[in-house]
Amino acid sequence: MKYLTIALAKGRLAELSVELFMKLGYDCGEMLTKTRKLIFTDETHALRFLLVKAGDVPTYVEYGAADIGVVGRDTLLEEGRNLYEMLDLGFGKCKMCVCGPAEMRERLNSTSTMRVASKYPHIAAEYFYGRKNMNIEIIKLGGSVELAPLTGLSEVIVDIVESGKTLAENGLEVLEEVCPLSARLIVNRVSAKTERERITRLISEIRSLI
Amino acid sequence: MAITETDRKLPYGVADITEGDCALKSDIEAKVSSAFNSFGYNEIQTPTFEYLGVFYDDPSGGGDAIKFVDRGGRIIALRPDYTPAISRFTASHKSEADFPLRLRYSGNIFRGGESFGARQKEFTQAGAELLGDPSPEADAEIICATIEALRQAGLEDFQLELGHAGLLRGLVGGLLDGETFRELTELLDKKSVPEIDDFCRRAVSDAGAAALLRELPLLYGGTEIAEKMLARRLGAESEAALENLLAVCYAVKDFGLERFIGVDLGLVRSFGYYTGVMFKGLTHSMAFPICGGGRYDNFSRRFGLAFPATGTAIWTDRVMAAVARSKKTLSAPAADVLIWYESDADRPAAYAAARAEREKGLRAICEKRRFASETDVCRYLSAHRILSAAKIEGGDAR
Repeated sequence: MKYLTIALAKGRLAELSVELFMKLGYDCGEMLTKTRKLIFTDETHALRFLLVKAGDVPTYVEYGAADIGVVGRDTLLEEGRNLYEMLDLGFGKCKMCVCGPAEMRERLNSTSTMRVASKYPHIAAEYFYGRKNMNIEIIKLGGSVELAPLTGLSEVIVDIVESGKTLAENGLEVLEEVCPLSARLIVNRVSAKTERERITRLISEIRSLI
Repeated sequence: MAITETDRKLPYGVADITEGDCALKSDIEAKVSSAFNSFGYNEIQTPTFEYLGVFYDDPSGGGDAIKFVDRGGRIIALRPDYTPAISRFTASHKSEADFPLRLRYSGNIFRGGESFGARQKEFTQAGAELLGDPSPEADAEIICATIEALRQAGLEDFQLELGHAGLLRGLVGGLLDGETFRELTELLDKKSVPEIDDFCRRAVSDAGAAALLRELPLLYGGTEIAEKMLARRLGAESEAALENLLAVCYAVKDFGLERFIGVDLGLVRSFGYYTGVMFKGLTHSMAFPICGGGRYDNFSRRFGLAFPATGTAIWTDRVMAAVARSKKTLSAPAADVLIWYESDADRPAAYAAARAEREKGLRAICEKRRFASETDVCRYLSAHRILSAAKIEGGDAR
């Protein structure tokens, strides 16, 4: 039997995904151990798991290097890849929000000179330009986005909010909610058809658990 | 004035095709054309550019066509899609009496905005259109000709997914306005069950229709998927669509090619002109379809003659990439014969010898001797056979 390859986003989502697959009886517990391996195999079920950077999961799946992927909706919205998004896994729940100092709340809809810092420039543009019809300046950052309003790099940020603790510690708060987020099961368009039976079985197995 | 550094580069989205790749591409084009030809399709050519209105009836649109303005101020578009051009051609030159009409084409299309693979703005397509025949057998013929063309081109591991434009319209067309319907087709295209769930809560009040929409993304497989759906009796329009889809599948089966097709009831296409069975072809290693097509009855009405029509287009560059990936190396074919001459006196004999080789159907290169030894020449030309003019005359110049 051909291996079915599943790409997981390194970090918290991979841990939750591994728990899910282990509950279904698939052998991928080795991924939770301290190892530098990037490929893990369950020989009995002909499954292969890859650990890749979150932003790369849709790429692996789009090009068929992986048949299936587990990745946050934020990554899918940002990357806009050509693939099937077949299941909401229900875990990794959080929100994409516009955040900033409290005094920005009132200025948010009236200013025309606002700068928005984000790791998600597409999501930010889609929200401000697409939905709110505002032309604003978007500044792409690689991380620690909360610094931007504190240092005067931008007025507000667009970022993922889980508990809001990091925001509070930096004197920022949620100003507007952009959209809810959670982990998604994505499938390569060709694999969905050629490996239909195994993939639909896996999907219904997961559905029965969530 | 010297050309600048920037001018030496190609505009973004276009590419040169080197000899080895080009040999493969021409070979694929020839095989695809010959397959369509064997089904009785005659080749035509339409202009590379036409008035924008031929391609888009939406006055605000123009989509991602590459456009320019002619001297009279009218907007011209580089052909972004063959189907409207073939419809315009048929309405201009043909009448009912010419139907059924079988036409084929091969050429380039241009799109300004998309990002598909390495060559992003200019693509080669080869296609066939069967005009004036509304029967399911006509759709099956187009699908089977496409399968045969892809096999001739060197692919065996591919699948054509069949859907029907009337199905979604029959199920929810009456419940949604144009904009919402378009949004739904985008979600269906991604088989995004969670987003469709969200969409139904927002836009679909009918509980039965909402439940069906949530199922639709996963309703793909063999013909049994369409048979089961038909048995559920979901209204005249969707039943007619399913019956028509099945009739086409059964005809493909009679062709003996059913192993290359599948049914996807959630299949949608970005072109709005499809009215019946529509399809796209997928193969491993290619993220984008290698072919696509379908029925677009009466689309031609705006060109002054309404007729039923069905057609297919093969994305030659993508087929080429898929075939190339299955090969280890790609090299330009070597010449068969090299004919050398040492002095101008030998030239007439050398030319005559080259002509004789060419008349035999061989590829002959004729030139004045430039290399010290035959080994050097072989490295340069990988020619199969080397003759020198003197040798041909039986002399001992060498």
